[in-house]
Amino acid sequence: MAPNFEEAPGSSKRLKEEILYRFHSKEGHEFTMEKAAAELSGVVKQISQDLGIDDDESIRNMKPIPLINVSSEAFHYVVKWCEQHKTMPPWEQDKWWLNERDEEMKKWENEFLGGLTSEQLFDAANYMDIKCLLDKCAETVAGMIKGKSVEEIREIWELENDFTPEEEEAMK
Amino acid sequence: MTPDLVWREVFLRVDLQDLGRVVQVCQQFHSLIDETFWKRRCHFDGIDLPPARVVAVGEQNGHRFDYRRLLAIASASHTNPYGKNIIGRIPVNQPQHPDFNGNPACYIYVSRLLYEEPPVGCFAPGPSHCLAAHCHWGLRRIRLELLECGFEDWILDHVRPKIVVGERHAPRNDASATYDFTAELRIAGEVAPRIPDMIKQERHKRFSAEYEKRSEQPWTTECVEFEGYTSGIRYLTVKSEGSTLSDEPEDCRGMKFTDTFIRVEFPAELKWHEMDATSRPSCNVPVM
Repeated sequence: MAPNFEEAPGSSKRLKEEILYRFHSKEGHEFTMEKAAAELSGVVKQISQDLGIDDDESIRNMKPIPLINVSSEAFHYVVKWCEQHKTMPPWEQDKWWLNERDEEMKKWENEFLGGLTSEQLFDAANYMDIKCLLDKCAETVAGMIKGKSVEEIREIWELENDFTPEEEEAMK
Repeated sequence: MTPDLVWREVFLRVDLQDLGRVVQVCQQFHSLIDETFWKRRCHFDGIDLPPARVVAVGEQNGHRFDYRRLLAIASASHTNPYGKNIIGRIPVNQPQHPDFNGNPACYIYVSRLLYEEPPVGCFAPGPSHCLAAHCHWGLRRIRLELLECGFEDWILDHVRPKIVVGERHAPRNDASATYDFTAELRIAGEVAPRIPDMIKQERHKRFSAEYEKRSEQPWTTECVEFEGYTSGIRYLTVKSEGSTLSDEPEDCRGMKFTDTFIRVEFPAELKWHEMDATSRPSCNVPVM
């Protein structure tokens, strides 16, 4: 069943008291995300910085950020993820993949990603530079590769064997 | 098609034994797992890389640094050859853990030592745990196989970094005790070399100390350094010995040591050394 975007946490019809960033998805839907959640995205941070936006009022007056590569469906899940992670302590920038989550968060993350097979979400995490989501998506996909044969990997991700027979022979 | 960047993030997290199959999937995957990838994977797994100038000097002399090999060996041996401590995650100051049995890089022999957590009877501040010796000379010997730690032979033979070996030690405050720390560089196949020869070749270093009862001695870090040694070095042995002196009760664990470290340091100005004649084993008895 398609998610109901109108009632979801990312809906544009949210209370005006909150400080919200606005976004346009690939399909042109408008979404909002609470400040602390949106700023998990490196791209949002970069755009605000480039535009010299540093107070809540200018965030409110900011035009929606166009996300030409992120579908509405993917963005819906991105919002859910970011809202859940917005209170997490700031991630260390250098070795960000070593950051620890507590058990409760790990459980939430596994349930969240367990129900999803969307590659779009992974691409969105990459495009929006959301490190904690990127890390989790990459870990999940890496887990799917574990113990799989070359053929099985090709089947799961619909990849063509584009090696010449000579190249294949050379790899054995 | 999923962008390269996304797959790179995935491959950084794929088990090493699965990566061998990943490269055979398609051209895209094959091209993504290149030298840059192996470097990033080392960084990702917490394995330090040698300084760029060391890699460059190797290349000038016809030796290409193999990052893939470094990753494979250091991961298997739990070592970090170019990091702050070569022995990485190997628990040399703890009771022997079955996970580390048969480690190809590191052999540890412990005799008459007890594990203390926290150390008993020493001045604070101190380490969280240590090994402790009583009156019958407790000892621990570590033997590192340098190539199995992830070193390249040309770095040991031609670049010859300074090798620093040390640890912290302290006596129990209400006991008199003695401590003896020896480190040696060994050549492959060498059996029982003569100590005077090794001293002459800058391959044998020692530190020792004796402490009176109530010497108020805090935890101290001592280290020995190897520079100007010969080519052909393949092993490093570290022996730590301690004893309570005889007027103490038998079970008084008077000497403690811990936080052992071994690291290499490259000078700012690298020199390319030629092989020495002495790099042949000084005794040709085959190792059984």
